[in-house]
Amino acid sequence: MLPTLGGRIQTRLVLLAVVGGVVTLIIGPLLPISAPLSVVYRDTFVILATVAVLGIGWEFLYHFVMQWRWEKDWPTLFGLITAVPEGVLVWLLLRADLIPGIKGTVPGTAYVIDFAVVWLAVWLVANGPMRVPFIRWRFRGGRLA
Amino acid sequence: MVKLRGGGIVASRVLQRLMDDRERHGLTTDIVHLFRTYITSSHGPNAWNRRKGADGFAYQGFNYPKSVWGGQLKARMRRLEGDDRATAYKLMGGTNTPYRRRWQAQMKQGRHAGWYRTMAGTVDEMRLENGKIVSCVKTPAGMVEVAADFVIDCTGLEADIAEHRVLADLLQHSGAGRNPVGRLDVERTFELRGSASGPGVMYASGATTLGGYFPGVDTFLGLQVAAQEIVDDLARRGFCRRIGTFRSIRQWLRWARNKQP
Repeated sequence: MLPTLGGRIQTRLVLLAVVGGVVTLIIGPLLPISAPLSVVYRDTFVILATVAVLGIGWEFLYHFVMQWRWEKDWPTLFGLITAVPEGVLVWLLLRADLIPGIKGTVPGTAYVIDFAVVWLAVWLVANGPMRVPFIRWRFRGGRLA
Repeated sequence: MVKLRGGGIVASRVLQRLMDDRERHGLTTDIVHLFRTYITSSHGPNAWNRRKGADGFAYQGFNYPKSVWGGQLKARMRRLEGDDRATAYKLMGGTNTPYRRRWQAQMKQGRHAGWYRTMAGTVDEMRLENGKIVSCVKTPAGMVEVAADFVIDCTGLEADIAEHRVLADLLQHSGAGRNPVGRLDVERTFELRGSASGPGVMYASGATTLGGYFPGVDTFLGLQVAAQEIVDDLARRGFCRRIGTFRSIRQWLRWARNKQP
């Protein structure tokens, strides 16, 4: 990807909201959590929102890191592996009970599945289908507006 | 003995071909490689603008840093005018070639065995002597004479756009002018500046307009980007319909089903 800072943030927010939202809705009932579906949805959507909000901060960091790259690009693989630090941070916050709105405890397996599936879906859409509906998106640094 | 000139993609590919043939056919080709600008290491004005380089070459995957086709540099170049733009072009341009492991290994082997040598300088004069081509090379250490059986010049061409009859005509009679790099001056929309006539507009993209607000314009992807922006401008003028989200999806689906969009 060839993002600008504004493009990064816009793309993240839109893709997490749309793709992340749909995927979270679909996988909610399939996650290994022994709680009513309403609680599962509440927790998974709060996690999704956390990834989006913290993500704005992460994007600033990625943009800063990108400045050391001559090409000023963000390779596709980077977009995939940044899931690790981001996922770990949200998990640590979950453990420390620092994410408001979470009910009960989210089991580790369910968290990993939820986070990985959403991330993978967003990454796949960003690197492929996104250019069909938004033909100018990739030439404008990922800006949608 | 082959003398090779240049440090761009053509030079690196010709060099690899020579080394491949040497390996494949057991040849004893000696190669002397002459660089006008010899790059020894990463280079650039500051830590945020350093291109990799070594052994004479500047390494870059494509003609430009990738983000000129859609990212940070594309956005930045759109805002630069005059000398600032020309300087930015200079910074990211220059002769360069992509880094390839196989070819690097061959060069290393050649340097070790002594059949691949490099030098920095410019050729002052060439003459035939005893069936060899002797080049007088001006190097930082003085004049050096290099005798070779063959000289392969990979230094490329730099022609002025006015040498093209149609473009010369445009520059002389239509009001079109030159950009900071000396080629056709176009707007951000690729409209040829100064050549509008009533509602009539002329657009130009490609290598003849290099130096404009979009550096990738002389590349395949750049031509696609330029075409899209020209169509957008035509749509703004009411000449055609803009390609929006739904139209793009609909037409993509037709394309996917192997139907004419």
